[in-house]
This record gives sequence, structure tokens and C-alpha cells, in this order.
Amino acid sequence: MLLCCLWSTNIYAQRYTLEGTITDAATNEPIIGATISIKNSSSRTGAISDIDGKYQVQLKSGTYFLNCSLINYTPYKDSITITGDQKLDIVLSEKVIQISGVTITAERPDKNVQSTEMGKTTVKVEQAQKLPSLMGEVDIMKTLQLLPGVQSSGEGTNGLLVRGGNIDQNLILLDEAPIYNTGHLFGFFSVFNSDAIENMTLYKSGTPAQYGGRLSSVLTVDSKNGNVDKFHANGGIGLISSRLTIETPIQKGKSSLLLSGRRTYIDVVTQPIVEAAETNGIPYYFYDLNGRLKFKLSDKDQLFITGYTGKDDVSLSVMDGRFETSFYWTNSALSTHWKHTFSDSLFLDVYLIRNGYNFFAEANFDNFESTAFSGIEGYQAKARLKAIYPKHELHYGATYGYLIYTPRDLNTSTDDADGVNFDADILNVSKYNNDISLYVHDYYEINKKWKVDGGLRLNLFQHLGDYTEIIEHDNFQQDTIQYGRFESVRNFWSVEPRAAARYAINDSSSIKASITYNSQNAHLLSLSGNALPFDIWVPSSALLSPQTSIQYSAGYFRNFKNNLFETSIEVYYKDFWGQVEFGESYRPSFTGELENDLTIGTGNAYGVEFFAKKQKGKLQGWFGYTFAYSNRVFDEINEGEQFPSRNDRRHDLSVALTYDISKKWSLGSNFVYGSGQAITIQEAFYLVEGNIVTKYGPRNGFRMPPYHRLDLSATYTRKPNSKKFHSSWVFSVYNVYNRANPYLIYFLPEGNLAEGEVAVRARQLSIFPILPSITWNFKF
Amino acid sequence: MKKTFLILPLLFALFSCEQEIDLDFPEHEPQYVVEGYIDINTPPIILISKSSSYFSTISTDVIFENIVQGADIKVSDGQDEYDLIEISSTNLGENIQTIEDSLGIEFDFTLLDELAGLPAGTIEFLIENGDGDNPFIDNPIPPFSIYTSLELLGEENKTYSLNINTPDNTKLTAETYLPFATPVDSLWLVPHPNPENDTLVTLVVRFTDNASTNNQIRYFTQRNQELPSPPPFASVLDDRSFFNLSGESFNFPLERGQSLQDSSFDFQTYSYFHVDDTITLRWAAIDVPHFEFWSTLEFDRSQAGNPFGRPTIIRSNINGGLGIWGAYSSSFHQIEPYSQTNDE
Repeated sequence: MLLCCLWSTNIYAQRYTLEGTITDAATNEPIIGATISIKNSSSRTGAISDIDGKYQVQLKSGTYFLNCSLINYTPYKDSITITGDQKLDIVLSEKVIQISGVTITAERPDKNVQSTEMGKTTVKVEQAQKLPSLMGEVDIMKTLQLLPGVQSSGEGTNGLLVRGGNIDQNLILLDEAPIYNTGHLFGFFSVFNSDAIENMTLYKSGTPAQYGGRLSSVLTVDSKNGNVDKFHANGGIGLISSRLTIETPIQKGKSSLLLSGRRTYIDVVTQPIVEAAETNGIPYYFYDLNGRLKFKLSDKDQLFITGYTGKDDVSLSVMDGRFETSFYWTNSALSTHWKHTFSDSLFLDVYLIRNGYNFFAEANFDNFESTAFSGIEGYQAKARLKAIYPKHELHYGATYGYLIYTPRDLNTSTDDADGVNFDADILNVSKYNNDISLYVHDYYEINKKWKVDGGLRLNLFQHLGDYTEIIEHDNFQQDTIQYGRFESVRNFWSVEPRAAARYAINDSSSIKASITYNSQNAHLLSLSGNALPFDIWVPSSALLSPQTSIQYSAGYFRNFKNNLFETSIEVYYKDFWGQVEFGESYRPSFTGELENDLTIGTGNAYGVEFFAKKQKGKLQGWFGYTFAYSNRVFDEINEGEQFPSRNDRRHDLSVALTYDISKKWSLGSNFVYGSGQAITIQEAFYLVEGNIVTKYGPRNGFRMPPYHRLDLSATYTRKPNSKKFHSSWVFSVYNVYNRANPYLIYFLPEGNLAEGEVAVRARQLSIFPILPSITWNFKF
Repeated sequence: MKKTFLILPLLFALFSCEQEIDLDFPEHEPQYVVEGYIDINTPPIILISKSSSYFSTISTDVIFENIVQGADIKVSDGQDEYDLIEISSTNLGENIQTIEDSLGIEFDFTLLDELAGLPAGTIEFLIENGDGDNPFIDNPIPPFSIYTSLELLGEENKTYSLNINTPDNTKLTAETYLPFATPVDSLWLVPHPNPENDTLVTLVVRFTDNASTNNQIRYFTQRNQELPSPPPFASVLDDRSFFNLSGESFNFPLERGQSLQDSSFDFQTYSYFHVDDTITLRWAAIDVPHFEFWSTLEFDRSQAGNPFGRPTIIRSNINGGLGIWGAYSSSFHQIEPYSQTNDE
């Protein structure tokens, strides 16, 4: 019997196994659902790649014709001769006519010309790592700022201003969990630790319908997966922080864990340098912790769990302890993602998310104590389906979110029982919201010349109780309306269409156009405009309506020299409604709801973006130039006249280049030039009660001097071919020619009126001079 | 939360650099500025001036040159209209005598000092000694004018309309309501929280909010024989936005009034009174636009020199110009020195 079995095995041993993995040329990610068909004159067989992109077929020896295909990918066709077990890994490139946009990564070379999407950019961490960075801290958000249409919100800060939009109009998703404040150290560094991130994708226009809730852009940040086969560690030691990341399989080939941490040591390092005896150096640190678990549950199911938490912490005591303050802010996100494959043409993604942002401050001055809290807590469930048909790709799904906003919760007290009592009751400390959406988006390839897509997003944003609404009447009368728990206070419905089309002129050039309508129910109230941690988020509510916008854009895309050079010209025009600002006579008050101090207006932004990129060879990089306007109109600001927004920069130029000298050495450089920021300055003075009083000039009517800067870096890799331990030194110089760029301009009177004359002098504060840095990175 | 910025200067101290820069500043077209007040049983006093470019050089001469003479001013109380008279510095003493005789009151010259931005006592000195050598200012002051009435005295619950026609025919108008006076219930002194600072006390008032109206207050304090002054950064209170109360009584600590020109400005003693001070409180009810003017002006003042401050546009009630036409409904309260009432 046993012999019989052996014999028969032997007979069947004439069948051999052909197996391999199918991956995407651009992302190196496994491709699920690709069809492999293998045939010769006598037989025909086939397979479909699984969730890991793997396939396997049994074949008799012989020569076959192999065809591997998937919609939107260029089929791989070859002949193959089987003489034994064989491994064949296949790399597929996205098709000439497919979905995508301008990219920085090594993707399908003519992708930018052939897709319908415009203004989409993916940045990989490796690219950001080759470019110079501020104090050696690699920050992908700052790499994004080097793209046309994207600007920094201020010197050294990570906030993004996209096509004239405000800083709060970017939806930033870490594995689908919204991150509300992306800045550490007052925005100089982003919360995204480059070691824990795989890549970032920014949509400036024509965003897919699955994303909504912000007017200007969507930035998706994808965490890195731990290696399922081997243990790896990498890290780095820099001037201000150190990083360590470990990746380990949990069950080999099936599940993995990645843990990554980063902490600054400004507090420790500066202690001996800053002789501010009272504060003991700079009593400040921040840290980030990222973790990701990946499980393969079955051939058709995968589960990912991502956690992030980060914190900035400051505490100090001055005036012999008379004044003490401490404050911190934290971001947190926990995202569970289940990925299911129904078939090779139907895919499901389900997410369960909890995220939050908290700011807390405490101050004691003599016996007077005060605390301030501001935060957002969010819970979300999302389901997304993707169905692939011949010529169509259909995306649809739903999202439910429950949000609790606590714009501010202030408490003051004094232990002085002797007559001084001061108590401020704030109504409606928290606001509760439902955020529900349904969407559908279809991509349709009509023929070789034309490709179109269209999507629709339906959103219901509800302001729910508990809530006390106060309706003010003339003659000091007011009515109070109480809403119970989960009772609807206001419903904001929004129907958000979007559409795009591409016409291919030939293989290397195309024309595209898109239109996008968006609404936004999260509003950042900022006095500074710099996304500082004390800026406050408020939701749409009985006191505040949603912001909306419409964007039209069109572009011409052309590649040269067999896709070696990629170029584009894009134009856009946007209208904004429901924009919020503090009134121009705003004074902070510590009672009442902040929304009462806001004023509502409209805006527009338009511009043209030029982009050229070389993505192969020793010298790589890009050039971007934007000529743009961004204006706002508020009845109650600037006497109702249109004024340039804070985000208005006429010229914005960026050049980013990397050059590989050898396997050991590579160089990087950035150059940026931007028109000066528009600010409001004093125009006149007059006297009241004998004291000088200021009259300000038109809103944002004055321009700071232009901003420009050159950064250089060099990376030295020791033993680049070593497979065991890999280390590199990164030498970076920020602001090489030590340009004193304006961070603030302010005016100081000099002289004394009693002694004759007083004249005002303009002074400029610049914060980052030439700053060399060195970072050591390792990997094993 | 402003205190949280303390960390930024520390960081900037490491890297930042500050420098003087030359910039091209916009031209400024001068605007008319009105500063006019009326109080219970007091005649209106109005000074008209012009604004100057923020980037011009300021001197006493420039300030006086900016004062507008020869304006035609009318004030109406809803029933009668009064033509204001112009009092010129060249015959100040004579004019003041006329007012005093006509109204039967003793004129407070420091009101004029205050208006003209002069050190207290200057005008009185000029009246008595002519404009020769005087201890207050180096140069003789150029001619200037203020405007007042020989017939009109402020009354509660009246609205006063101001109508100005300047020599170049610019029309400036404004309206202010003189509310009912709202005296405080009581006032007392509380010692400094740190027992070591046993010479410093805080003035606390008890005040009952009138539920049927909005109440705005501007207050001034006077210690001993000094001039009454408003606290420079927080002289106004508002029951709507600040207390969120209605019809209730509350206790509130007041800051000591202090002139901004006072060179003895010290944050350790700021807002406190001395145990030996006799304190007079002027507690004046004002209308909303009048409140808004001081509230915005003082907030903007408190932001001066704060690089992270933002411009606060001062809300004026003058149509066609800048400044304020404001009515006060003052009540006066006096408290004996803490040292005398709390002997231990």
C-alpha cells in the first residue's frame, strides 16, 4: 500500500509547482486578485493571487504561454518552460489608462500623464530622508511643502497651506484616524516619526469621494508594517531626538509587530547651556510612540491594528516659585482595520477608530490658580467596498462618527477666602456630534482617449444635546432652550459632488480637468494662524454653520525623453464660504461660547502651478513654482473690503535635488523662495487721554520681506553592501547662507516725549540662522 | 493662556536673532480724532485732533499742531441744541473764568491736561504764569483749543448727539447715552495674599447687577491728592461678557488707577494700594459703544510689545473719524486708609 502510494506520487511528480508573488511596480505592495492563465496546445490552467499577492499552479513539464493580468495594470505576457518546481515573481505596472496622479515616487513612468486625478502626490519616506532637514529631524510634511501649491504656515513649521486654503482645511489621516494637531514644539516638527511611516499621499484637488470633511486637501499617512519573516531594528541618534524601531514576526509569515519610539532631549541637553537658573535649561520634551500589529487571518482576511500616541510637555517655575505653569498636549489614535477579499473583483475594508487631541494647562500665580483644557474625542466606524468591472472601478461605502468637542474648559480659583470670589460658569462646555456619510465614486474608462470619474458624498453632521441654547432678543430679554442627551439641536446636510476627466493627446501628453465640492464641520479658531497647540477646534453647531468650497482645476501634463522628465502646468480656482475669523475687535473673554466672538466671510483662491521632475539617474529631483492669490471678504473685517488672506503668497518656488556620488555618498539640497507673508501693521497714531493710541492699516495690507533659504545635506553610508548591519551619517546644514528670514516684524518706539521726540523703529525677529546638524542612523 | 508663550522666548534665545530693518511704509491720510465727554452735572468737553503717520517722528510740537481749531460744534440732548464755544489756549484763564462764572462750578483743569496729553498741572500753571518758562515742558506750547458749553450740563437717561463741522468742512457725528448711575453697594480693602507684603492692599467692591439692563462700568481711582486715573489696561467692566450674571451681587477686586506716563511702573506693586492711602473711587456707568471703545483700546494697549499679539481694531462711535464721544454717569465713593481702620 505504502509502496503503491510512493509509486503514484512518483508518477504525479511529473507535475511541478510554479509559484511566486505578484507585486505592484510602484508600491512594491502585493497585488491581490491578479489572474494568471497558463496554456499550451494541450492544457489550460490558472490561478488568482491571494491577499499576499501569492499564486501557485501545478504544471506538467513543457512550454507554456503565461498571461498575468488585472484591470488597470499592463498585462505580463511571457512563455515559460517548466522542467521542475519553479518560482516566478511578477511585477505589474499600472496601465496607461488608470487612476492616479502626479507622484514623486518611482511609479509607472507615464502615470502623471495618463491618470484622471490631478494634484495627487505621494512622498515616500526614503525620499524625504535624502533631503536636508531642520536639525536633522526628517519630516515628510516639510517635504510636502516643497511641492507646488503647498506652502509652510510659517518659518520652520510643519503646517500646510494648500492652494490658498487655511491650515485647518487639511484632513490628515494616520491609518484613517484623523490627527488634529500635527505639530510638536509649536509646530517646528511634525508628529509623524519617519521611522514608523511608509508613505504619505496628498490630494490637492479631485479628492476621492471616500474622503470628506475638509476643504483644501486630504493627506493620508500610512504606517509601516512589521516584517513577518525576520526581526529588524533601526534607529538614529540626532541632535535633538533619538529614535528606535523594532519589527518582529509574531507568527512567522503570518503576523508581525512594529514598535517605534522617538523622544527629544532638549530638556537634558540644554540644562548646562541655558544658564536661566530659575528654569534649569529648557523644561520641555516631546515623544511619539507608534505601534502596528499585522495579522493574516486567512487567505482572504487581514487585520491591522495601529496605535499612536504623542505628547509635548512643558513645565516651569519662575520668580522664586511665585509663578508656576505646566502644560501639555497629546494626540492619540487607535485604528483597527479589517481587510477582506470577497473575490478578485470585490474588496472590503472596515475600520474602527478612536482618536483624540487634548491640551491642558495649569498656572499658579501667588494664590491664584487656573487651569485650561481643550480637546476632541472621536469614535468612527467606516466600511468601504471596491468593485472592479471591465472598464469600471466602483468605490462605495459609509462612515459613522461620534465626536465630542470641548473647545475650552476654564477654571480659576483662589484660596483667599477674604472677600474675593470669582467664578465663571461656562455653558455648554462640550459639544456632541454625529458625523454620518455615504459615498460612491466610479472610475470609467470610455476609450483610449477619454477617461472620466465621478463621485458623490452625502454627509449629515448633527449637533446633539446636551445643549443649552440661548436666544437673545432686543431689550435684554433672552430665551433658553434645553436639549436632552442625543437630542438633535441642528442637522447640517451636505451633498458633495466631484468629477474629473482626462483626454490623452498621445502617449506622452494629456489634458485633465476636475471639479470638487466640499464641506467642513471642524473649525480651528486661531489667533496666530500658526497652528499652535492653544488654537481651539470647534464643530459646526447651533452657533456656527459649516464651511464649504468648490474647486475647479485643469492641467496640461507632458513627459519628455521616454518619461525621464515629467512636467505639468495646472491652474485652479476656488471659492470658499463660511470662513471663520475672530472679529477684528476681538478680546478674549472667559465666559460664554467662543463662537459668539466669530465673524463669517467668504474667500477665493486661484493660481497656476508649474512642475518639472526628473526621477531616474544619479541626479534626481524636482522644481516647482506657483503664482497664486488667496483673498477673503468679511463684512466685519477691513470695512467689508476684500483683503489678502494670511495664506496669500504671490510667488512660491522650490527646488529639491539629490545626487548619488557613489554607493557611499549622496548629496541633497533644497532651495525655497516665497513672497513675504501679508500682515497687518500700524498705520497711524493719535492721542486719547494723553496716551498714544494706534490705528491699524488695512487688513494684511503689508508684506514682510521675501523668504528664501538654501539647505544642503550629505549622507555617508558605511559598507553599503553589508547585509547585516547598515549605518549611515547624515550631515545637514539648514539655511546655508544664513539668511535672516522674517518670523515676526514689530515696532518699538524709541525716545521720550518729555525729552523731545519719539520715533518708531521696525524690528525683525528671525528664528533659524545657519544650523548644521548631524544624525547617525542604523539598521539591522 | 498667554503665559504659555514663555517657553518660546526661551527657545528663541538659543537660535534667534533680532535686527532693525528698513521698510517702505504706506502713506497715511490724516483722520479727525474726537475726544469728548459729558458727565452728570458737568459740561461737555471736546478736543479735536488729527492722526499722524505711525512712522513719523512724534514731538510735543507735532501733537499740538494736530489739534484742530475753529471747528463748529453742536450738541443736542434730544430737546435742545447747544452751540459749543471754543476755548483757545491764548486766553485760557479768561475763558475758564467765564465757564466757572456761567456754570457756577469749579473747573477741574486736569481734565484739560488729560485731554491735551500734558503733564498734570500744566494748564493751571499756564493760566497762572503765562506760557513763559514752565517746569512741565521745555518749549512754549503752540496754540490749541478745546470746546465746551456754557449752558449744557449732563443729565441721567438722556442721549447726547454730537455734530461737528471742521474748518475744512468735514462732518463728524456721534451719539452717546448717559445712563442712570449705578453706585457700588460697598467697598473694602483686603491685604496682600503674601503676609510679608504688609504694606499692600487690594480694593474690592460689592456690586449688584441690575437684571433689567446691561451694565457697563468704567472706573477711576484716586489716592490721596494724586489725580484720578483709570487702570491703564482694564478700566471697564461689562456684566454681559465678563460676569455672565444678572440680578445678582458679586464682589470684585479693582486695580489701582495709574497713569501710563508714571515712570514708577512696577509689576510687583501694580494694581495694589498702599495701606496708608485714602482712596476715592469714581464709578461711572457707560453705554455699550462707550464700553467697546475703552475695552478695545485697552486690550490693544495690553498687546503692545507682545510680538504674538494681534491687532485689535479700536471701536469708535464717531461717524467720519476716530475717537470717542462718551457719557459718564459717575458716582463717587471714598475709603479711609487700611492702616487706620485695621489697627492691630
